[in-house]
Order: sequence, then structure tokens, then C-alpha cells
Amino acid sequence: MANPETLTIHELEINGEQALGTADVIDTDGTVPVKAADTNGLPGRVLLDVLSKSSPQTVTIKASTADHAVRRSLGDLVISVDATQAELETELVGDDNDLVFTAVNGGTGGNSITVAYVDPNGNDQELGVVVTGSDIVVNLATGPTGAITSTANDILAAIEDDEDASALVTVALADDNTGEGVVTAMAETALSGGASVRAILGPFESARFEQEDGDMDIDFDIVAGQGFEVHAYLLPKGV
Amino acid sequence: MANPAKLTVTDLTLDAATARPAVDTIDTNGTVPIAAADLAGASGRLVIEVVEPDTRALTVTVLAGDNPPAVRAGVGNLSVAIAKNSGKMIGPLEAARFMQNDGTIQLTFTGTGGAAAAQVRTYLLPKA
Repeated sequence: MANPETLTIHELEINGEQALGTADVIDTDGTVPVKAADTNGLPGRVLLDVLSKSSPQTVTIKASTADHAVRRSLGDLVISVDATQAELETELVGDDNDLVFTAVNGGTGGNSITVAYVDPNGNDQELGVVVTGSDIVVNLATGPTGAITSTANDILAAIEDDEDASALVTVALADDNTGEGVVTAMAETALSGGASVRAILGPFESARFEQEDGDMDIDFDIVAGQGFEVHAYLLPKGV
Repeated sequence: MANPAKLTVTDLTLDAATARPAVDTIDTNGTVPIAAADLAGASGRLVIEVVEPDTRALTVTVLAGDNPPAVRAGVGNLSVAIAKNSGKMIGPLEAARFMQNDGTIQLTFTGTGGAAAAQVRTYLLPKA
């Protein structure tokens, strides 16, 4: 896969209609221009309808390097377009033992992350974290009688110390929880709520962003395997 | 079920991002205004996104305005056909053709063979 060489421009006309066209798919870090030839010399009259599939992802409108761009000194315009992160708040029996797991990367991919707390059913077991794909299994610690001894704080620390788990999720104490409470076993539970996000970017100032060749350069910084879908619209003159 | 009393207008800002707003849901044939107070005197900078959510085709008609103030009202209505399961951007719209004498812009939604179904987002562009 590769980014398109240029963004496709859908031209709006006064009192006109324009079908919502096929989006340009951005799946690679890099710069994609809005070409001068496609914007009638008005690159700043572009609206970008951007769907972000993950987070953190940014769209940067590059400041011009041309002398004619009298407002170029304002610099690049960096816009974060972050998809919603999936989340799981435990609801265990007992007090002060609930945690909130949040997907590191936003988007629907986070909904496939699962968390389970497993009672090892043995005496004097140690707390451990095992990650298989996007499944996080926390093997709980037990005491000499086999009772679970792991607290929410213990699990929080164990997740943060585990490189694979912390690449998937961040962990925090649930509201009004101290984390000092002992947890219970918890069946495999998926995070939820991860979703793509759409935003409208622009229009933009030509006096800041129009390059020497009349293009406007847009840099996309994406999460690997994710990216953006972009519809670019050109506004008519006189609006 | 009923259409909203008016369409929600979202202001776009120069050199900035605007979260894509929630849709106004149209589920009944009829006319819905864009309020004058939401236009900041700039009805010529309206862009309207209409998506048909796979129910039935519809026609969106931007009604010709009153003269005065719409000196080009004689050009008439603007009718836009939206096919089933598709969408269009309409506009920007010309104030001199569509502004009513109360400052509103009026849109009529008419389903083909039944109640109109549409998801509408209305944007106000910043000044050039």
C-alpha cells in the first residue's frame, strides 16, 4: 500500500452539488500535496474531511518556504486527529480494587484487546502477566492458604512493568479507588468504545501555506497499520 | 418521530480543525429552516452535507427566497436529488437567491415514495 501522489480535489460550486466521492486512503507516514493545478491557484480554499482510524495521529499543513507567503512565519499547523480509545473499567466485588484499562492506540482495533484475572488455584503463587496477541492474562498471586492476595495497585504495577502489556494498554485507578483492595478473578473481558473520529480541517490561509510551486503540502503522521481517509473539497472563489 | 425545528449550523474556522458534528436526522417530509441567528448574516457561506442512510431516494430543495432581500429569487428553487445510500455536498449557497425576508434559509426534504430519510450536517464557512 502507498499514499496517493496527490489528494483528490472535489470542487464545490456556488449553488451546486457534489457527490461525496471516494476517500483518499492514507496508510503511510509522509507528505501528500494538494496540487496547484487542482486548486485554480487557491490551495488555501481547501476543506479536508478527515477520518482518523487511530491515535496518536496528526495532520500537519506545512508552512510555506516561499517569499510570497507573507504569513509563513507562523509556521506549520499541526492538528491532532485522534480516534477514540477503547476502555475497560473493572467492576469487581469489594472496595478499592477497580482499575481502568485504556488502549494505547485509539480506534476500533482497541476493542479487540481483552483482560482476564486468573485465580491460579494454588498456594503461594506469584503475580504474573502473560500477553498473547491482544489478550492480557493476569495470573493473580495467592497466599499460603490459596487466597488471592493481589491488589489493584499490584496489577497496575505489573502491567506497567510488562513491555508487551504496556504496549497495548495504560492502566489507572478507577475513580474513588485507592487500589489497596484485593481483586477477584475476572473472566476475559474486552475493552470497548474504540472508534474512528472525523473532523473538518480548514479552510487554510494561502498566505501561510502556499508553496513556491503553488502546492500545499500536507504531512500525515500515522499509527502503523492504521491511517486516515480524506475527502478534499475546494471552495469556489468569492465565498 | 419528527424533523428538528431547525438545522444545526457548525462554524468552520480558518486554519483549524472542527470536530464533525452530530447529524440532524430528517425522518419526515417537510421544510426545515436554518435560522437567521445561526448564519451571522452570511447565508452565502453555507455548505450542507446530506447523506441518505439506505432508506429511499429523496430530493432536497433549497427554496427560493423573498425579494427583497433575495434579488435573484426569480432564478427559483434549487433541487438536489440524492440517491438511496449516497450523499452530496450542497453549496455554498447564494444569499441573493435563497434568503427569506426573515433571514432564514428554507430546505424541503421529500422522499421518493415515502417519508424522507436523511442525515444532515450544515457548515458555515469563515470569511475569505
